[in-house]
Amino acid sequence: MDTSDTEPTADPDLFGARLWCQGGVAHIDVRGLEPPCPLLAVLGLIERFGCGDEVIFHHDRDPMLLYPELAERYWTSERLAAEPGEVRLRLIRQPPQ
Amino acid sequence: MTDVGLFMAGAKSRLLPLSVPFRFFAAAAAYHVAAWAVLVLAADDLLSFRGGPGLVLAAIHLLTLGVLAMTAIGASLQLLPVATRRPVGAVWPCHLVFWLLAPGVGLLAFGMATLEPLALGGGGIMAVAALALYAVLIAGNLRGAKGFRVVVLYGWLAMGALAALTALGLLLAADFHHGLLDSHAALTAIHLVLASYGFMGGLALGFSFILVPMFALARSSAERSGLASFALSLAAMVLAVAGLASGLDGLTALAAATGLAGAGCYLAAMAATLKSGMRKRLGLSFALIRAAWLFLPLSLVLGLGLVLDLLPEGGATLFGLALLIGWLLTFLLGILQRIAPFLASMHSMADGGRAARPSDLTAELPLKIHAACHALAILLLAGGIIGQDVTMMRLGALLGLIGALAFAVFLATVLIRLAAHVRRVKQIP
Repeated sequence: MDTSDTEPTADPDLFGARLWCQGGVAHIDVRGLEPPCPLLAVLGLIERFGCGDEVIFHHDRDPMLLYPELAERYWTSERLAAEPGEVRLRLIRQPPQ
Repeated sequence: MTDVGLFMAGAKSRLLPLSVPFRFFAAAAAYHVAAWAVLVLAADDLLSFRGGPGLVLAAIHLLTLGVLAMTAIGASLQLLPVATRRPVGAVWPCHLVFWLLAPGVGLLAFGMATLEPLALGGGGIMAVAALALYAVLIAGNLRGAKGFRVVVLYGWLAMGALAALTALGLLLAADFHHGLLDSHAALTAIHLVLASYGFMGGLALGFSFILVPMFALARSSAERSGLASFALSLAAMVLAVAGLASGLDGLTALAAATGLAGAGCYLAAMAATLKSGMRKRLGLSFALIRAAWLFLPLSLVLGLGLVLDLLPEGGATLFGLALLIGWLLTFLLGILQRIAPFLASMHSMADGGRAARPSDLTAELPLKIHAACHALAILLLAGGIIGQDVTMMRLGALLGLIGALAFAVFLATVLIRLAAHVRRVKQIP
């Protein structure tokens, strides 16, 4: 995976979610997308070859339906500090148990 | 698009305590066992059943209210607020719905089997009160929902049908003792149509537009097909009620044909959803759901044949089998076996721990046993009805009972595995 920093760009294959790379970590911003596109976009990203083992996910609400889907794919999440109106999660790939 | 107020209300307010949906699911699993058990006892009366009191009527209401409505209520109370992003508000009305409905169904079924007036009246009133309270809760949530137009419209259709069917149900129950209604048979038929196609069918079709994309990981279903299916379903309901009330078979037949067209639009929307989904291997639950989708139009074809007097003896029973067990029960159990581990997984990280994998919470063997028994039960019941063979029907009901027990084991396993996961996570420093 190319780890150089990039500017946010809308990805048409991920329903227009904005993607960028910062400090070697992929970021995905799904704010403003109609459900279920946020869920599909982030799952599409983590299933992409070469996405890395960590993704920062920017959303405007707690994505409750995402957690079971992440768990099914051996990913976990942890809440990060964010601006008001934003939910920011660090998604981490785990080794299968 | 973001509603700051809603956001501040927080996701947790949209996530009811796990005990709320699961107490409905547990009661549904228990009534599932009870419905098949009563059907085993009632196999002798199945062919001659025309809507009067007795074990068959009790079994039907254990199935419709105890399993179908109970599952739909538990699932919708949890999933609708998540989908509409509108919190359900206080939790106590959800508990009250349960404590009225769960014992009310048992009491009502006992009253129907024995014609015991206190049980019939008391159970009926408790069930109606529960359904009315549920309707208020759902209507409040649907009223402010943005988006999900098809779901909301089907929700209103279901709530309208619910209001009419409960009023008719009380009237019919009272008439068992007084026998004042000349049109008892026609009102029974209207009650059945409103309950199965209107209330349960409306919820099943409407929630399909949330649940099927959610499970198949697809974009929302084709809205145009969804709106067409809703318009045709509504027209079919109105025509069916008018036809049955007036005795004009042509109108009732037109209702069945319109319903078939509506079912076609719905199935086209579902096919498009599955085709566009990211998840292609949908497992056993979707084998049941797909089978149920075959029974939906089949029930309408049988209904049409019944109205046109084209079916042989036992046609009415065959229609009831296709509608209540083939379509609605198979669909609901397919959805429930998918939802239960998914909801449990959502709750497994309520304390910030690692979420349990839904597939780790799922017990495959009981589900396989259930699916096999359920399919055989339908086949044997259909064969018994066509061949006028009571032994075959009883054997079918017995297999249904074994399948229901297996399903109850599956549901219990989800909870046991969830508890074990939570214990394990809490031990991790």
